[in-house]
Amino acid sequence: MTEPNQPSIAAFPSPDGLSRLLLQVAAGDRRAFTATYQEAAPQLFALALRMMKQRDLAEEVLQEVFVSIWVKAGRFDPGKGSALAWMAAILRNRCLDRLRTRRPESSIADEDAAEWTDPAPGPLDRALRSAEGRAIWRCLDRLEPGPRNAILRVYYEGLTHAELADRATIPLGTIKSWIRRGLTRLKSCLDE
Amino acid sequence: MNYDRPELRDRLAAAYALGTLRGAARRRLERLMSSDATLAAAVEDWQRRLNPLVEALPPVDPPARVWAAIEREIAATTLTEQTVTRLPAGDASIALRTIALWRNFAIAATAIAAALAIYIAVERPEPGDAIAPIAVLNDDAGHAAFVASTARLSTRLVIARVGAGTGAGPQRSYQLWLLPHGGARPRSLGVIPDLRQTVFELSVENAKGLVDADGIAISLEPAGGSTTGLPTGPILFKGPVTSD
Repeated sequence: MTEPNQPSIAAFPSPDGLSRLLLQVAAGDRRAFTATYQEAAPQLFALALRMMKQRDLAEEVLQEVFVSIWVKAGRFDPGKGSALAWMAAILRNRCLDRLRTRRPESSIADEDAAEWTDPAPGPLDRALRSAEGRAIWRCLDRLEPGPRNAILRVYYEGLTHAELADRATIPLGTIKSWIRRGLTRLKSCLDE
Repeated sequence: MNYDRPELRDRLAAAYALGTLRGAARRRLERLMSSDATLAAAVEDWQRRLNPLVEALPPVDPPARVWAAIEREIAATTLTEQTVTRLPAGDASIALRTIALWRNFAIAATAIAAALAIYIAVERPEPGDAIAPIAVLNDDAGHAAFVASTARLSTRLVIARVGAGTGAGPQRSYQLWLLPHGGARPRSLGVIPDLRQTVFELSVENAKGLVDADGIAISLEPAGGSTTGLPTGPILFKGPVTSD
């Protein structure tokens, strides 16, 4: 096994391609598993880094998640969203479990606060591969900056309401109501 | 809390998917999801809505050591995943139902329950990973004497005596054998130190062999087991490995 190449945007398989790979993984196909890793790991690793804020922890989580994907691939249902989203759900659960027991005292977030202030990737980074990916940004763009950034920071950094309130020095009540209202509007926009 | 209110249900599902629901509340919702399909569907809906956000992150290549570690772990679980397909699925009650198909139900059930208790105490398997019988070893007269069981994602094999039976006698040992597919030479799984129940830690090779084995057997050997690598004494108990 050579080190997986970073997939270029163009080389990234269609969402359907990744779903097909995952179904082959469910059947025990090791080559499909290798391909799944090559295609999805860089994206998932990026998310793990954002959430865990420590490289070694992010690597551990990624490893656990792919072992879990190998075992659980049979539970993936292509009718219920993209393969990448399914894998991201597993990864986020694992990260949140870890963060529950261990929130690093001095995190990158605190040191490089500026870097995390606007978690929304720039338009050029929005290499959105699926219709769902495009839809959520379209709907997020309709929200006011407060609710939008609150939702994005909580999602990407694995923060609780209180942690975000602390870091953004915004009252907890405001954060809660931003997120609640934001999610309601997001839902009605996405379900349109 | 009343989880039946649709708006509350949806808010909790969203908090779960977004990740703001944490700790004990998160665990509680996970437990509820396993018995409440509507709640589980609401969570899935929210995960489907939110998780495409991952696509917007610029990819970062993980170091090669991550993949190397994954491959090592997969190699260890692959065989057990294959084994699983041959096992009666599910939980202890299914294991007990399966046993009921065989004779000596009452004794077997007791022994399996005992084996289960020990196994769970040692292994703490995830729900759904409960131990299940894969072979019943009969004596020459066709009476069930031992039950071999294993669990999903485990290389462990539990041998439990279900008949009254006598021991191997002084200066003798019972030795457990895997009878590989196609009548190949038996492979030793080890001497059985405790006839009531013994947990064998199988090698990867043997656990793989168990997947399509013809059966499992116990022979009578000199104390400490055969020195030739093959059974030297009579095969006293034997049974086929069952598939679904």
